[in-house]
Amino acid sequence: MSGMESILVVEDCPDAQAQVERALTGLKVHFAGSLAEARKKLEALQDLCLVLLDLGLPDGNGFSLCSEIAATGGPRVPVIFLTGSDDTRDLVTAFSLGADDYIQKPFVSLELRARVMGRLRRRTEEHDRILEIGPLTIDLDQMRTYLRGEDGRSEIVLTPIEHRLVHALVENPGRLMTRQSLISRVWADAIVGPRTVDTHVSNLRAKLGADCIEIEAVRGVGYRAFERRQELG
Amino acid sequence: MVDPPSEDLLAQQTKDDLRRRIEAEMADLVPGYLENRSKDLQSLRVWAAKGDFESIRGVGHNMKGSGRGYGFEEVTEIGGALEGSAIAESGSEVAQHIDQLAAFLSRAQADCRTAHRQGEDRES
Repeated sequence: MSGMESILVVEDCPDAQAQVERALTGLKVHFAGSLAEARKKLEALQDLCLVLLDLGLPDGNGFSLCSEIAATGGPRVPVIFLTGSDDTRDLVTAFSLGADDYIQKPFVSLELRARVMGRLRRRTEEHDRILEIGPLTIDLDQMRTYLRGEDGRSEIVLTPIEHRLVHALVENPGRLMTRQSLISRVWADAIVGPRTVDTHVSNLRAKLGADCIEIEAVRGVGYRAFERRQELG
Repeated sequence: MVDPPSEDLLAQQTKDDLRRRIEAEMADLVPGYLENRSKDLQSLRVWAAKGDFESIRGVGHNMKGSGRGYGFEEVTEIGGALEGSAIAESGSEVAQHIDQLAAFLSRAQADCRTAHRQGEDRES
């Protein structure tokens, strides 16, 4: 786990909250006792790395929140259900909605901690497959690209070629990529001409917008990408 | 040649070891936990008199979900039984489980006080 990221525990029973807090000693844990409170905290917590979610809550069930988290743009936050339900249908529903694990109450603190730490370890490994430059986040596994703006994060829909192109350009910011090296990386040495590269770069610039990253053309050679800095004064 | 321990014995040893670890881990939270169950007991008696099965179900559900984690298997069992009886809206079964909870709390709080006194004696 890089740094100290937040875990959100959505649980209305104070005794269960106390046990979770004890089990996760040393981690940054926030509690929400209802879905409404959880939604507020999900918006507020920028460093969220995991959600522990009870099923039966005073204002609804955890399934709806799990769906909402799964539908959120950007790298996915893992969800572990922590529930007293022993109904197999609930377990199946939880996993079908995108849950990463399912712990049945009553639980043993040692087991809860082990499962949470295991999930966080896997998340760190997955996070290495996320590329970030300025407001741009590229999820290499999911082949999805997101742009962070004033209204939160939104997805930029790119074609597979555009995705490979932006990956090649921003992987080493400022490094000159020749057209031939881009053809090799993006088109796997298929027979394409330099103008094809130019056309795709032009499309990519249009999709990313002017405020995101700068893709500079180096005449007769290729391209290099930079994070666009805010103008001072 | 010595026979290897039976699977039952190993399972029991694992269970005992786990119980000891839970007790050690949660020891300082146990008095508060039992205090909360005493408050539940009072509420349960009021709700049982009113026939408020939904509130009884909720408390039973929470007890079922938390008891074992604090080292109290019996709370989990009584909680589960209360939840089931409340869903079935069986006042007589609810009353029986409330009595079981009262008896358990009486024993557990006495054990807790004894353990506390023994701890103080060791320190002095």
